[in-house]
Amino acid sequence: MKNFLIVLGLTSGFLVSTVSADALKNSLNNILNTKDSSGMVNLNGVSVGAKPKHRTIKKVRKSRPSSAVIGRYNDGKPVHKREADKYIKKATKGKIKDLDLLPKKQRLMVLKDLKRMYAIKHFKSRPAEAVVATVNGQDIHKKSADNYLKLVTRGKVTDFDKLDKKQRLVLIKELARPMILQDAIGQNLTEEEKEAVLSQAWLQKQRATTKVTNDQMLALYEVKKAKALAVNPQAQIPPYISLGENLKNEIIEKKIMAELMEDVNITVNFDTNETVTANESNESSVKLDKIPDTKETE
Amino acid sequence: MKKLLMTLGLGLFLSTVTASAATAGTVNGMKITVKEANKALRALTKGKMTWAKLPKEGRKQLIEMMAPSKLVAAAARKHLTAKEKQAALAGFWMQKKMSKIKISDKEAKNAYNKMKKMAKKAKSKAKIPPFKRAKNNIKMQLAQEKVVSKLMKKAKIRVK
Repeated sequence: MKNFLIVLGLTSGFLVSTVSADALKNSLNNILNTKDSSGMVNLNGVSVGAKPKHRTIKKVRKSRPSSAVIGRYNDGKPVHKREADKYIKKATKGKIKDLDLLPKKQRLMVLKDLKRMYAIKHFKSRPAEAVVATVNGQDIHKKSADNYLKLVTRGKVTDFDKLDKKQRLVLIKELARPMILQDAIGQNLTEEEKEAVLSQAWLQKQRATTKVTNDQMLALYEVKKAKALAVNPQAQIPPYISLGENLKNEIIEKKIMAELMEDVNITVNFDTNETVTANESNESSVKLDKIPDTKETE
Repeated sequence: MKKLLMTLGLGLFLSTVTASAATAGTVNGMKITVKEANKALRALTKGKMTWAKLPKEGRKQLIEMMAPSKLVAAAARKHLTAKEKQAALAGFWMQKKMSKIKISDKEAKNAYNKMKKMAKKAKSKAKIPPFKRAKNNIKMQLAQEKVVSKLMKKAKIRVK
């Protein structure tokens, strides 16, 4: 009986162990076939022979002492860090107090600003008669540059020497424009042309300032009307209003000429018997087409 | 013989110089040369008459006719300010130069579009005229810019 019980126990033990081994195998197979989502490190694809990558470590910049020289002004004097620190503190309203906390680009900008401010503070202005530029060989004196600058900036900047190089060139170019134009006029216009242009300008000015009354215009209209009717009693006379501008211009021209010819002293040389030579040039300052016809009828 | 030719040549030269510089008349002391009188006569008579052939009365009439232009020129020299003179001459010179510069319709259209864009960007409330109406003004403006920039390029500017 004892022997029978031992054999029975052993066979049942074997049967149970085979069943549980199959379950373990199945569960392991499942793990291999499903993706890992446990958050564990996946070492697939790791190359064992590869060299380790160089890891960049941010260097913490050491701040320099405030007496450190960070650059030089244009006159060679040193720029100390404390000046830059003070400038940054003021510019950032106390948020940044150390120049060395800024990246290189910004540090350079601060230095540039300091240099500019120093130049403004310590610059020596040239005397008013100093030549600040030449345009086609013609001198431009500081006084005229200052005056122009004052005009352009509405009095905000009055010293040419306070401008930087670029600003100076821009200002001089502006200032030089009429000078260059004057040069070009001198080279390209003949004396004849100049005289004609100036004469026209003067006449235009006179026309604009000469006053004509309605009575004067009406009087001229009546004279003209009477003359026309004397020639042809059935002539159709245009109304006064339609001739207004023409009458005004005629009176103005007459007035200008009368003023010009007042007390004029004309002499004629009756003794000149020279014959015209072939080499006579065509130059003449007289523009016959512009001569008013007031004297022709005299 | 050589001497004679030389004397003759010199005499001829002097006579032509004096002829062209000889005075036909004066207006308030300003000379009107025979050359000027002949030029005026050529224009008036289509080359049929010269000062030498002109009778006394004709000479007087011609000088009186030429007097106003002399007087106007003198008045302009005397009464126009330096600025006025400069402005008048500059305006004339600019017009002369601009007349030689040609601006194509395409250039004008491009400039017009640019201006329109700028006005939009600036949120300008000013009414922009159609291209057809603004074309000529734009062309003039472009021509003027061209003249000035050409002039400025040629200039030798040195800032000290």
